[in-house]
Amino acid sequence: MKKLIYGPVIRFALLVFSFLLILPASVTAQDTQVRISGTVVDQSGLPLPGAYVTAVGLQRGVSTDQDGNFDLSVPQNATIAVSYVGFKTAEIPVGDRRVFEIILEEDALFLEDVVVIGYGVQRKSDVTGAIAKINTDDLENRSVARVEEALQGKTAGVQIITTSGAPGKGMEIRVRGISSNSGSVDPIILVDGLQVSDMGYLDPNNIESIEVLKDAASAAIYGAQAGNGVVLVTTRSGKQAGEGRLFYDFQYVLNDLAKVPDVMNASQYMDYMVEAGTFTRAEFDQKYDGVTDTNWANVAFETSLMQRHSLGFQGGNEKGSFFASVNYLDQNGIVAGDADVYHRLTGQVNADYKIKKWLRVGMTSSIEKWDTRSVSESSEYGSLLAAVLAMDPLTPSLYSPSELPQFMKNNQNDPEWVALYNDYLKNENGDYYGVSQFVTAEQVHPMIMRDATQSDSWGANLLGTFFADFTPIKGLTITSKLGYRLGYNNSKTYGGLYYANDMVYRSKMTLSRSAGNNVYYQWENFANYDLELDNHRINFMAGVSFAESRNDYASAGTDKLTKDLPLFRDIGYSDPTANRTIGGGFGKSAKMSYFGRISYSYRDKYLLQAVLRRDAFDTSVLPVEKRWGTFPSVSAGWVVSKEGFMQGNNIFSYLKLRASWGQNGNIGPLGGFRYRTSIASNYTYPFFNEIAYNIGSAPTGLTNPDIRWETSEQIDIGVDLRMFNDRLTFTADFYTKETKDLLVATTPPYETGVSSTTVNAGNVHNHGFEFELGYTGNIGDFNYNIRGNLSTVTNEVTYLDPSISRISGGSYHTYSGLTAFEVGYPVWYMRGYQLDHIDSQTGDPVFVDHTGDGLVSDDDKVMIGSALPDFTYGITINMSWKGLDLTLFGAGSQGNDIFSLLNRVDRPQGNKLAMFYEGRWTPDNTNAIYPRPGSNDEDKFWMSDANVFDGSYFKIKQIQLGYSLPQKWMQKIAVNSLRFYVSLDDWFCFTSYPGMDPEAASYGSTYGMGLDKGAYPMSKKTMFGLNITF
Amino acid sequence: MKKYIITFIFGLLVLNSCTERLNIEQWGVLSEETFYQTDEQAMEAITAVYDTWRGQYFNWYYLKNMLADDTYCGGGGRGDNSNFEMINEYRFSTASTVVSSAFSGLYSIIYMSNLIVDRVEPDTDIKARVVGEAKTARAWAMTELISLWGPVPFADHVLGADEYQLPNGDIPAMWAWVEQNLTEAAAVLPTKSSINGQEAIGARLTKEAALAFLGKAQIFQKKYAEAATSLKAVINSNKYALVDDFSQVLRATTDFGSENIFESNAIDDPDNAWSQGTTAFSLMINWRSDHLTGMPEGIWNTGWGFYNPTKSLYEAFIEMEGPEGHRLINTMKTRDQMGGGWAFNWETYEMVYVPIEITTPLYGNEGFMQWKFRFPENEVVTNSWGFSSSTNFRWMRYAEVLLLASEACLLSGDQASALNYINQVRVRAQLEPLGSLTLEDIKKEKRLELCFECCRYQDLVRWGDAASVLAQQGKTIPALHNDGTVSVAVTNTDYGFKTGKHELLPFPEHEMNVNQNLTQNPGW
Repeated sequence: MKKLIYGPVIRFALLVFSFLLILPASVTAQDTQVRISGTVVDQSGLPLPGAYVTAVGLQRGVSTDQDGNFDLSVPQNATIAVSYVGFKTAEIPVGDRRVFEIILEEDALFLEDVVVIGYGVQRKSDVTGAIAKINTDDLENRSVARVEEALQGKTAGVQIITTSGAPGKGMEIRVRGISSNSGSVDPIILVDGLQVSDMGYLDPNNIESIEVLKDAASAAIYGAQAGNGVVLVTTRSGKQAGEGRLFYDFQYVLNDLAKVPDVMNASQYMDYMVEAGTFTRAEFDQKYDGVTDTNWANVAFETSLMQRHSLGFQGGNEKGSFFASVNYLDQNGIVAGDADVYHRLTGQVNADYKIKKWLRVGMTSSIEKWDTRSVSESSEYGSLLAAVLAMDPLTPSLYSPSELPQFMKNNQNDPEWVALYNDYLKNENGDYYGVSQFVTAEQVHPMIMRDATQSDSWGANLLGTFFADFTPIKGLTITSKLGYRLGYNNSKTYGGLYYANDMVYRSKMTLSRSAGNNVYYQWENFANYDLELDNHRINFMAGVSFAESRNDYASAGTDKLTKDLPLFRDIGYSDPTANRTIGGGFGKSAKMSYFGRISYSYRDKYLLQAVLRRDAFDTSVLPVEKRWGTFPSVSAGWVVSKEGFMQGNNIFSYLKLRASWGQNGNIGPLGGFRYRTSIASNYTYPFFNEIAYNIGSAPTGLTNPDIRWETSEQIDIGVDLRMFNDRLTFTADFYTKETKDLLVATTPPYETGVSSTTVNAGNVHNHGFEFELGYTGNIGDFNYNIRGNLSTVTNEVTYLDPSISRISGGSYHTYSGLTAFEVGYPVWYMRGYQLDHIDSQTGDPVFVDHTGDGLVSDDDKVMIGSALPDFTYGITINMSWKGLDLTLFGAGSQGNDIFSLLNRVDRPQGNKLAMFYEGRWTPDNTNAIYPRPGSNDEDKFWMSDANVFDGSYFKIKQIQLGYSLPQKWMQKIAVNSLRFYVSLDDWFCFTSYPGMDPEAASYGSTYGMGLDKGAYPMSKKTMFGLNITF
Repeated sequence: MKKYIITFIFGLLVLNSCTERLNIEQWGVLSEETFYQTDEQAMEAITAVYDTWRGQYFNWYYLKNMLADDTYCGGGGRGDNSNFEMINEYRFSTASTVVSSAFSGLYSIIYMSNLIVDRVEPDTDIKARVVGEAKTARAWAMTELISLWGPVPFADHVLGADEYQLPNGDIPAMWAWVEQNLTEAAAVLPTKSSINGQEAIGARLTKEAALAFLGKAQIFQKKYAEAATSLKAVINSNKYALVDDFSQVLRATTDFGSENIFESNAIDDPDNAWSQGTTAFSLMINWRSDHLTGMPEGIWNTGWGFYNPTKSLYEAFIEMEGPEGHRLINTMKTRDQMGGGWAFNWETYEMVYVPIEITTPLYGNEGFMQWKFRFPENEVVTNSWGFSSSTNFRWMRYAEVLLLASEACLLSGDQASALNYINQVRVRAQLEPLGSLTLEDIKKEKRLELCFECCRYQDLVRWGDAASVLAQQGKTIPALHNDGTVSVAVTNTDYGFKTGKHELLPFPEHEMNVNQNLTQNPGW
């Protein structure tokens, strides 16, 4: 495996490296050389150590020393270029001079943080909206495999929802709450301006910064797609003053299960089942060996490894820049063995070059190759993780072939059984996995679940942009940018024969395969014009965008192979007598937009910005006559600290007040020609007893030609503050966001015969506060930096079509409506019975009779929880002393609930959390908190608030200690810097949730949020790493 | 200059509109305007009706049988299917999804049929037959709606946007419409060539099916003489006969057989196992396999154990047939009759008979296992994990026609025909023919012959017996233990048929929400 991967890595690295060598124009120094020297200082006369001095066109230059001095040989008629981060590059003809004092002018764009705002950048001090920026520091040296994960806890207003901790699984980003009943609540993601649906292809190491456009005014530049916020990712470039850099980062991570929930042990399990009447003592005496007490977590999990390598090259000068890196990730999940793995090999090449004084061209490109294998999770019909909790402790994990129990031997001797299932599953040593005589749920021996089915998927992606910037006149930049995505993905699932119990078996092998590919391109042309007149600064931006995508897929399946051997497990070896399935098709979409923005600043004190975007979508989304929509926004800022009355104070170094208003759309829930009716041939019927079908046709549904997108309207008020010489920074925002015209499926009166039609009839309101606070300080050599953030979201459904009392969301087996979307409640609140008390006489649960009719029925279900937190927060502390550095980072969520769904009423034999045993009613414990086993209304009990737990948590996500070797040692071995570190990630979690992991306890990111059906937990990680640069 | 030229070219490109590319064609559909014209299109339209009709079986079956006194809901445990439990125990409300699914399903058959009747010009033989089939389908669905819900909205054509708030229909007018549709259909529908002729027609409606539905609709209206005429027309066609062996009436062996008036087809097509009608129907009914050590010989090894016979049904059988009654043993099994199998004993080295053990008490079971709708291995559509069955879904059996005819004749004064018809059923059940006949005899006979076959609840309401028979329904729910004892698993405080309310089902909550002109049935 390793050979396979490193081969391409090295070859690719060599390729990139040779490219790097070719790139700079080779200029031969034939002229006479002269020796020059000098000093580089800033405008206040302070020396600038480390400034880069070179002759234009020359390959090598020198850096200034501690006092800003330099000494260099250059061709006689050369022009020297002096560059330094944060300053404008100076170009000075050498002429007859031999000694220089060079004063560098501060570059306004560098002096202050610059933020990416969509089709342009803006000085942070000019920003009038609510934009959160995450810098590369927050992404580096984390044990996260995916970029989204690195956003968690780092900025206010952005919540990351984890539905699985399994290798390769993505996470969901929520910006300022949830504002739709649909599944389309993800922000749009643009990487270097290219719209992508998933950031999984990006290695966190290749990212320069991530900006989240939170308020409607900032997001409005992306119009009809920006209703759920905008995430702008910028990949790293080679832009830097000074010499090129070569870096290598390495991480080695040990993953472990963080927490094993406390389930009933063997004796507790037997007591409970006997009391419930599910089994008798006699049955246990007969079937149980009397000693086994299996802890299934020990069977299912093991310490697993993850390693990451990043090799990169970075260099640039005033003409061009180049960045290239290759990254390799090898992640093995905590489930024992190699059944849950993720491999990702990525390459990133970003380059740009100034061909003419008025023309700069460039490209960014990412190449990714990935593969993953996964286990089942989050399902009441077979989650390996739930099986760890639900399997009975009486069944041994393994039997050696000689000590198989009689009931298993009997089956093995039954020719009919053997014909169906072949044999019981065995591990690699030939020992049989234990088969339960008690639990017949789909949650069986975790290793049977692991080995019975193999789900593999793999693919590759090529994504990037080509761009050209023209600057025909001063201040005007016209950009033409072509973005593209090409990808393919494959998946293959093999289900082998197995037998776990009477309900759970597979007597017919299954094998299915699918392949898909997609092509997307977008072409955007826009112009930025900067105008400065005395105290007025104006930026105009206008542009047009067109995008088109197509994806194709084909799938096939078979249930019989010519030979069921590992090297025959593919569609091509299907037996001629097999039942085969096929599928396939394509999807196509297109969109175009016009957009414009005016930013105005007066004396850097009064700021104003207006944005307008018009979007049109293709005919699968909206009818021709309704396809255009307009999305406006305005925002304003007042830099109070620039006012005369604020001058001279020593406390406030900066104070800005901001306000914005805007409208955004959400196009996600539309599509599929919902606005028109046609005749579809979706019916098949065999009229005779032979395998032949007639095709049936009928209208597709009811037309709603008035359908339109969801629209969000948002107001944001904020303040940015810096105090004590910029040491303390503070940002606060309040927003209120109303999303209208949600698309809901309404059913007309049944006698119309039309099952449902989609109408715009729902509103959701979100409002909240966001705070970010930071402090940077030092005590001698000890430097420290503390940053914290906190955000609240208050969410409520404010309108729904009167014909709909509520929309049902999450379900568990035959229980539906565990979450609901209803006026007056938070989005997808948890709904169920409310446990009042346990009857001390009978041990039966007694539920609150809200209707007061003396009966507990469906009408007595109420809100029993919500997965939406009251607030989420994060805190990061960085400390350094000499070469040592320490990072502490924690993130938390407060006030969210988790509905633990592990007990199916039709599978009463499943094991349960020990708390239900310890707290149960018995004749001796009549003052119980939980009912007697097998009580009346047990079905209601498992779906009541007794199973809804506080899901609040605070996780220390990172404790990292690093040591950078002193520079003077490094220079001797031609190394620029070398840092070693150790880190404990996700080790400590403070929560009262009794399940596995409160952070990953959802079976979906919308209506399944907070419903735990056995989700894959996030592991705790012990990490060793190094960073080295040359 | 060059830079200005390039800028200008890009400027042109910017202005170049791409709107043409936004026009994307929809694949896989046809235009509504040009459909319903040709024979082929008419056939496609009626195929959609048959497919839709078949898809309603599951809900229709459970709704009507759970309302009757012949079964308990059962399942894996209390709450395994709380929707069916609420129907079974008369605790359901207007929010019941079982009620709304059946209601909307029947209307979807009517809608699909209305499209054909409204839009297909019956100017060819094929189109005339298709229109006849559509009229039969919508009349059958309307019969179910009127008999279950009473004054339902009268959707006799495809409703326009301004007709979405239909008031309660006029029941006599709707019955007249039902009869008219069936009479017109009977005139154009084909008839079987012989008693075995259904095979050649396939799963399509015949003239006799329309007449049988007509007779049933007339019985609901208590128009016994007219009903006798309609039903006798079916009987006297001599194209239908009871299957000799009662044990085979619901088996795949008698698909398209002489006893089936109308059935929805399901075929043993492993490649399309999931589209064979109402999947999981047979698996739902099959015995609760994970609570048992095994299944009887030849029965599919997995089942979920919904639908367990009541003791009251068993006793009714005993009263008429005795414990070894031919029809009884082909309808249900007692605990002692559950059976077992031969297994090799490794300690004694001999084959021993191992009876089926109940490992976990069977919820919702009073000591009887359903056998009439058993799920034999050879009816499983391979490749479907037992989810679908190749057995056709019977909507009406000839036995029902005979018993309806017997009732119609008796009540219209034709005692001789009435006796003849009921005795045909009794003889097949290996019972002595009756010498004289009362309505009570017909009621008893019909309960036993057609138990679990969706007739009982409507009959009880029609006969005025529902209040007395169903008053205690759902008061306690039993559980069957391995030793054959029955305990009380659940005691309900709210249960049973209530006079003045349960004679009619409620209009679904959603229907009431969206149709402002509809008045809810009494008591709901």
